[in-house]
Amino acid sequence: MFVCLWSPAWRTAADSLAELSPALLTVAPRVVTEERRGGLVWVDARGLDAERVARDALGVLLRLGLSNVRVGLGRTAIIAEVAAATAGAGAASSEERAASAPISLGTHPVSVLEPDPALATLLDGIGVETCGELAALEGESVEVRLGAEGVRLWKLARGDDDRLIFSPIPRELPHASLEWSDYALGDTERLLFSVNALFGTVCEKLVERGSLAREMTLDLRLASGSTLTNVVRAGRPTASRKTWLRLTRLTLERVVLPAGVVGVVLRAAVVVTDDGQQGDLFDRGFATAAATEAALASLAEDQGDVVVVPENTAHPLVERRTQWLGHHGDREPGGCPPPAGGGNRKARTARGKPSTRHVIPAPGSPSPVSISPFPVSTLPHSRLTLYLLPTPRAIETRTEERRDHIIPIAYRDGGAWYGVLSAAGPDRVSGERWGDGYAREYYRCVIDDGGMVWLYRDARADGWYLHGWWD
Amino acid sequence: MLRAACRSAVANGERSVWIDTAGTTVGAFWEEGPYLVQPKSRKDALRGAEELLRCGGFALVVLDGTEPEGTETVRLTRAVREGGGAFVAITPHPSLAALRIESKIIPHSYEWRRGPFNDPVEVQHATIRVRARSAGWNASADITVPVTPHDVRLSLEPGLADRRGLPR
Repeated sequence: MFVCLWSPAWRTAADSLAELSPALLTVAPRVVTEERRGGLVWVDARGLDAERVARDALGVLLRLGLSNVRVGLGRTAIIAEVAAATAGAGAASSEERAASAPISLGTHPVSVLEPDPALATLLDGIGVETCGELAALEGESVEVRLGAEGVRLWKLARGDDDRLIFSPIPRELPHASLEWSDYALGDTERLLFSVNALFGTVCEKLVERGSLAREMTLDLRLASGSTLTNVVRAGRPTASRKTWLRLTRLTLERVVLPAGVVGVVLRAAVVVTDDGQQGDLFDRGFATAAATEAALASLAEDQGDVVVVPENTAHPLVERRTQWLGHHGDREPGGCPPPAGGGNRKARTARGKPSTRHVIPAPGSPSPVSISPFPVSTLPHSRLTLYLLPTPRAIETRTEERRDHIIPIAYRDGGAWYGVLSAAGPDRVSGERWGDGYAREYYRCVIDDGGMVWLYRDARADGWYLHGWWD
Repeated sequence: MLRAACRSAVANGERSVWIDTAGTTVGAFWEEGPYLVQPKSRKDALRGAEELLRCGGFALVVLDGTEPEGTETVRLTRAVREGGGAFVAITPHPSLAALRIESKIIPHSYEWRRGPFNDPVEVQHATIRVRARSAGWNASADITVPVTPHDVRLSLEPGLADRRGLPR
């Protein structure tokens, strides 16, 4: 219920009305003043005994020496406002009015709603004099004949008032505190033990209200009387006690305490709503998405951007072609199934070669599908793929001539010699005349243990290197 | 084959992750689908593997470039049981493994496409001999797989700078 206080004697500015607020706050938790109609005082009686609040408010004003104060009660603001503005002139009747039931707007003239002068003339022209007559009209006809302002007035006449007299009360952010007086803590580990208990309370409150914290502040009250404030931020909003404790541990490890700690206040500083995600019955991974995201966030906080995705260019050197970027979780890497054959196949298709390749069993070898007991035989994308050493490794090589070039026939790596059964190449690549130049002759070699390696000869330094292998 | 298994898990609506400790994965050949983790150290790799296994969100976790030893293996095994996924460690010491798989490319199984001088030019496919062992079970098979070619972008003249593909 709304309680509206009005007096014809209040022809004052809001300042003097504002002086009444502290006194009225003794009877109700929220009081708002408004300058309309020469000054209105609103008392929030929602959830309280409205009649009692109205009587108490009148009593307070009478004790302050204000007479001729009128009060109105209503389920909506407009009813309370009109009731107060049209109450009898005697201030003594105010209390009686307060005790009575909320009045109806039906018999009041339209002027109590303070219509726009042009609209008032229009209403007068069509013979609408009271709120009841206006409320009896059909909404459509009011909208067509009187416009938007007419509709607003029509709603008020029906007691429909959506004004927000009292702004919503902001919810208190979760916080917890602990103080001790017998001793002062200087050890971070013991301090964390106390903070851990506070995180339990704060994170529990966050979960209860469906929120996640992006930032928390940890105030350390020192024995010297000062307060040391530490801000702890998480990469992603979370209500996980484990995550916050780990971040706080990292923060406290870097803090030098100027004095012993005698109290801790922990508060969630930046809180966001846990919007959640729309579920998908056909997504097998949905049930574990939150756990996966938490694990990846933990990994990122511990080790940095270790979850990566490649960004490739067309650089001639394959090791300079890729830049690894951190994966920030905006989209799962597996969000869409990979295209058949992947990017490499796409490149071959662009050159007009067939888009699919079928595995042709070697002569005499059995069909892999028919004999293999492993499920991998049915995987369509099994293929040998190139892997690179982080840094090409120098090797010793024996070569022989083949027409106008040389090919390796054996190489030594790590003290062991490997014979080359077949070698394809050279594939020559060179560039960067003005930068870090290179000139390489690449060979794909099948060696005697069955592996296929990628060797190159540095034509500028005349050295041989093992660069990678197929696996 | 492990990479294919990772992609297969993703294709089935599950998640898989490849932990590449040695940094040997070639970005140009990495196909979208599985998560790729490149930890900075062996310890980070093991901690990351444990975390990802324990969270239960990954159907397959492959640890490449780091060989867990002794108690590390036990700890990872417990994480696997807790998370309920599958864990593959590429190691010559498969203690505590429920399934041990060895693979080896058969040296003379490579099928080459030949050039005009009958020189080998491009590998078409190769055959891998795979042997799997588990408690009371032992089997092997030969699997023929294609080979991903890497086409080096050739310079026309060894003395000329090849600036194709570079930002201008």
